[in-house]
Amino acid sequence: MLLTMPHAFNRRAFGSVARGPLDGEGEDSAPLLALYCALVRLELALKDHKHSFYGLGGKKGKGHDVCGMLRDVEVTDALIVQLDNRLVSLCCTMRDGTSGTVDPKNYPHLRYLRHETDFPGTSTNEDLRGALDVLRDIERELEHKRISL
Amino acid sequence: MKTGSIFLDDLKENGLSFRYLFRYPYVYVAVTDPAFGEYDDREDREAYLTERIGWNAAELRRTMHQANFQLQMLTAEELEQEYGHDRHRGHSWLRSILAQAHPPAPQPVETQESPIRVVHFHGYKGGQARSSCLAFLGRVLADSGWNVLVVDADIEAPSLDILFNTKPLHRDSTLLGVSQGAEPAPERVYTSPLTQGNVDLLAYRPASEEYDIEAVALAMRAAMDPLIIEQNAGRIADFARNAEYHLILIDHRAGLSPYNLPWLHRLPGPVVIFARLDEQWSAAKSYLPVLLHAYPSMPGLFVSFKTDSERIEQYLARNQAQIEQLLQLLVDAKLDMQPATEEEEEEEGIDLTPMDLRDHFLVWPYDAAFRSVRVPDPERTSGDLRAVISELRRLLGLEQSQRRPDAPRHLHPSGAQDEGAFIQTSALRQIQSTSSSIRYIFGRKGTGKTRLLREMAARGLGEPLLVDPNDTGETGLRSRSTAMEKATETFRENPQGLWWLLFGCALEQRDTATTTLEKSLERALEAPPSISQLVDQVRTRAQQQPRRRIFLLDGLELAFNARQIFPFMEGLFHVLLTIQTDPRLSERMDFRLFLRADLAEIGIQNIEQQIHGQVIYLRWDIQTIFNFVLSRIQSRDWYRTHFHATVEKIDQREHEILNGLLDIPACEELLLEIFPPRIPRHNLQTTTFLRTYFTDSASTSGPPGSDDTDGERATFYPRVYDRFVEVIARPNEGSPSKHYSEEQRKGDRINPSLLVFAHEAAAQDYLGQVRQELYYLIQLDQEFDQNRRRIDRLLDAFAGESSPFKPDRLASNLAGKSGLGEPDVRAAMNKMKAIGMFEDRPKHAEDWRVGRLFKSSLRMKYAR
Repeated sequence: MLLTMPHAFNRRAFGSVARGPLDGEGEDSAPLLALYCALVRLELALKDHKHSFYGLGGKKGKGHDVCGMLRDVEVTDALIVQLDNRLVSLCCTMRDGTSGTVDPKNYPHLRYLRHETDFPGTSTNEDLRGALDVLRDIERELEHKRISL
Repeated sequence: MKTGSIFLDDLKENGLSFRYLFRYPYVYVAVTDPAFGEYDDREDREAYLTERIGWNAAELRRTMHQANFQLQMLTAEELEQEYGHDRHRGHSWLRSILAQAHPPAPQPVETQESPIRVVHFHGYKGGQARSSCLAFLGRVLADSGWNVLVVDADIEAPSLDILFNTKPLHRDSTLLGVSQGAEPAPERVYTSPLTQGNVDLLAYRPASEEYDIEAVALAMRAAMDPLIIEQNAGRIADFARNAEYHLILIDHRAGLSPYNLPWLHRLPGPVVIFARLDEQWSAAKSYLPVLLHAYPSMPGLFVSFKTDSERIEQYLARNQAQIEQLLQLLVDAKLDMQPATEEEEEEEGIDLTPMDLRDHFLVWPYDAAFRSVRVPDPERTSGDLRAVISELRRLLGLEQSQRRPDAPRHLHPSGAQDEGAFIQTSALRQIQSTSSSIRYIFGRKGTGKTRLLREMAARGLGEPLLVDPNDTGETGLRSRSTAMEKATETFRENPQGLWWLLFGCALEQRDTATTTLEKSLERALEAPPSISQLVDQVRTRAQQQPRRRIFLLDGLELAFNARQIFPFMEGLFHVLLTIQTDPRLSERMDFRLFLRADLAEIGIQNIEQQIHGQVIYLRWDIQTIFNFVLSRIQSRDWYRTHFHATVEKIDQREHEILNGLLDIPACEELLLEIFPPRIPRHNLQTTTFLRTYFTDSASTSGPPGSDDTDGERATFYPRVYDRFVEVIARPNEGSPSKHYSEEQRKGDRINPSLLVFAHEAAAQDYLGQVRQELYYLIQLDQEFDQNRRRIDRLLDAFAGESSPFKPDRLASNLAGKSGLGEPDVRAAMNKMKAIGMFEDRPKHAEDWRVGRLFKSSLRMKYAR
């Protein structure tokens, strides 16, 4: 069944957290939550836009590959590269327990983030804010393209 | 045709306020007006705006696109909500040009304080000697004691590795590696023999084609995300500060590259701008101020490469108008500098004109020295070029010397303890880079192997792992030590194990400090692992190394007795071959083996293939040895007291001497101000005496050290000359075999008889040192002390024997005199020949002869 109703409620819910503080105010964990939720909202918005939850015309869905989805809607390459770079620079715990990096094609890895307060020398709030900063410009460009978040 | 600049001007003219924010790659231009609040739809807001400024919607959209503007039309409240927390992101020409054309920027341009001094080199066009000038400046500064880090930031056309004649092998010595998270490990490309100052290079990428994809991918990614450049710049600056570099020189991509400004803003510093006076620079007139404003306290200067022989004064006069235009840009940058104090603000501005800054325009003259050598010795360049470099240093605030105060140097005949100045021989030039392909350094005793190892360690080119037993340093395991003896005994049946264990212990520690190495070795020997476990251990530990490590091995001649030497040498070469060829090892570790040449010829299988292209033979030719002699004369107070004027002349030519570059006639001229012209007793010219009496070769044809490929021609021995020079200064100290009772000087030169005395003393001392190695090389008895006594008897038996000689007949004579078996004596003579004490007599296939150096110490005589 082709899904036609957008996930507007979900997007609003995640968006309310995504718009959290970026400048060091609020709780220490705010940037991680803000980034994760911003990516969830982004994924939902892009899938809603492209109706790509169950695949269309036999094509496979994009999973959680937000960068791939952004390319599909022709967001500026430089912004996509910057988002990719920011995600890849975030440390996370891999399935085998070792240290790795977040897969930009599978951003939910972010839940396994290795933060410097737990793992010295790993990801910082500054790193998370860097990714959020790029997302902000991506969101602006999507609005400009009339893709509703 | 509308442009972004016209748009912003029209906004101002029509009373519309705006704020812009640069967030790479866009400029967000937020136009604010309360009227926008009446319109929900963007197109309606757009209609309002275009009407206000007299544009139409199509040209507005086109202009925004072409200028990379993201236009936002907002009320003040919307602006605060939408952009209130946003900051600029990324540095680029677009951002800087905008700030220049429409100041003040909504937020001040943020530049960070660099943790270390930096100078940038930039040219609008390529081919203007920018990289050559940078490389040359680096070398000149190193000669003044500076430790300089050179960074090749020209991502699209890097060339500094070529200029410095090196091939970056490992990614951690490159910018590419740093961007991949590697700890920077720049390659040492020059060390000044005079001051120990260095130039280290962080090239852009490894030379291997394997990295072609990553190299262009990084260029592409960095163009889209300048934060990559800024992050790399930050890491490099932190590394440079921690490694105590004095300065970073950065070579930039020409033109309006997206890579330039991120470097400049992350590491602010003056910019040396290259601009040839052919008007082609004028297209950059709007952009050059961006460079000059990056570091207001010292904006920079201009350099122009003059390609022909036109007189500099004429060149300057002919191009006066262009020069003034360029200098005007510099004047503007200096005048725009923020005042530092309130008093400075109240002072009347200084009326600065371009001609007040005319010394900030330098002409880089063409110099023939660059024809054959890309980074020539400054002494070989023209006075004009040296003057320009001096000016460049002065204008950049780099004129001072960083030379460390001369500490007293302890001179010693043993390379393990000698601290005398090191002559820059061709051998050192070949191995003074960490990416050198030379792994095997062979040479006869006394040719400087041990001293070379210590020099390499001091220059950071390797870590001593196994050292001479007489070494007094604090790194490396002495080859005759309790730990080494225990390890030899443990692995007697499996010699490779000793070497794997040694490397494993070294990799376990952060460095090769003697005490920790010994403890690690002793701990491991309590329960020695199997060979395969040792090999796995080394592989695992190698992979864990944060940086590539080079281990230096020496002292093997005294590590094993005659029975043990072959199996342990064979084991060592097997292990070294594995290290060379296994990428799991060679990526993270390497070695340099210093070895007496004959030990590499004891029948180890396939050794020629193993060392092919990776071996040098240490040899001193006449020029380098004469330079060495002069350096040792310079270092001894006695000569400075008694031959003050000559030693002052040596001081003035110190740079050439330490580079081994003072030619033979000039060396002889200086030496003959100290030594007499002839030695009457031998009816010999002193220059002939110095050339021929200090080699192991009896040959009169062809000088020692001349170019050949087998490395087995005779050589001079710096150790012998050093002792010779010392005995002249102090003839009756250091337990000479005889007493010298005549005057040291005869007239205004050294007494000829003292030359003969000093030569004999030096030759005897040298034989004494060779004797120590013979105790391990020759086996005349199983028991070491008894073996030693027998060898002493054998050497004493040579006294009075003739040279040339038939070896079998001499062996018979020596056996009779010493009481040793003739086969043993014959075998011993073969080994003595292998280390250069004897040689074949030309045109007399059955005869041998003794070299002059050993003739006198063995007290043999020439048979006419």
